[in-house]
Amino acid sequence: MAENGIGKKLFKVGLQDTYAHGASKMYLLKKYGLDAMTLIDGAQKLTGESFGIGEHELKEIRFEDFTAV
Amino acid sequence: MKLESNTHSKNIMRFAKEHPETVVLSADLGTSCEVKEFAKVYPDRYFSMGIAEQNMCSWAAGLAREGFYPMLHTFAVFLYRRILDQIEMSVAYPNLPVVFVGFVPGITTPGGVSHQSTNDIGVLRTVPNMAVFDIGDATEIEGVLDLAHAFNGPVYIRMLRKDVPRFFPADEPMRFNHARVLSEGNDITLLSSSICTEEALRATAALKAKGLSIQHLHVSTLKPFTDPTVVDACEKSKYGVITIENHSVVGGLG
Repeated sequence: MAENGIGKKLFKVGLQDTYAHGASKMYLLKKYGLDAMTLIDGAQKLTGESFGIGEHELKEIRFEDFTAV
Repeated sequence: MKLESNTHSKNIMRFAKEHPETVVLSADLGTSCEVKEFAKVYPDRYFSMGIAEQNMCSWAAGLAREGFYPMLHTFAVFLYRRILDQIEMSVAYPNLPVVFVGFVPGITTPGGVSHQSTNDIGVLRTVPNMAVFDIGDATEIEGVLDLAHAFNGPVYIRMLRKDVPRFFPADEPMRFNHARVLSEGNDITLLSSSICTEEALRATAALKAKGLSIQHLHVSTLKPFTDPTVVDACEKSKYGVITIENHSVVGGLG
């Protein structure tokens, strides 16, 4: 962005410079804030608005079993 | 949204038929990396290298020099952290066509920190000659080997396995260094990759219902990262840019 002279705010959702412990994907997405709610929080911070969106308003998260090696 | 199963297994069978120089190397995780069928059908083109990834990487470099097209299969974490010196000296410096197919990227493993490749994009983006792809759906799995082949150099793929959703039409394959536009808007620009595109779609549906206009791009080529579609999208956002990725916020998409 800087190379192209774009002076916009940037909100980064991902692992925040940390290691993560071992658990299911769904649990880790939520625990480390890689999920839809964190993204919505980012949109609120950038716009300065509160959208009042709760987890229940989102499409249910897809269950995935990651126990197999 | 449809779930597809074992797409890489089917795709590598198709690819191997079209490219007889393809050989597969695995580090004791062939069954976990969807190359069991390949080993069964092409036993003379399949090498089980044991839990010795550094040796496997140097072998691959030698095979590439002899005209083969080696594809290394194991978990992503073992294909960058353990073997970085072999990647750089044996493969990337001589710019050899070797494909590193890394499975269970980021947090998509229950194995904890020893199995999580959470800074692989950050590390491998700094390696000259290397291309880096982060897979987000079944259509991309079907397209990525052809892109790697066309690139004709060292390629690292963050691959997904087993049940993978299909978000993108099967007849619109992944394009090299070209983001896929999932929604048009100008309040916020959202860049997502890997499994996080699914989370992003959950969020954008709710945000759009509240009247927010979102330019959403799915990015799967992380290196090179010179796509004008991404630059234009960032430029037009009124409030700013959000990135979401299955990786550390340092060195990856964000």
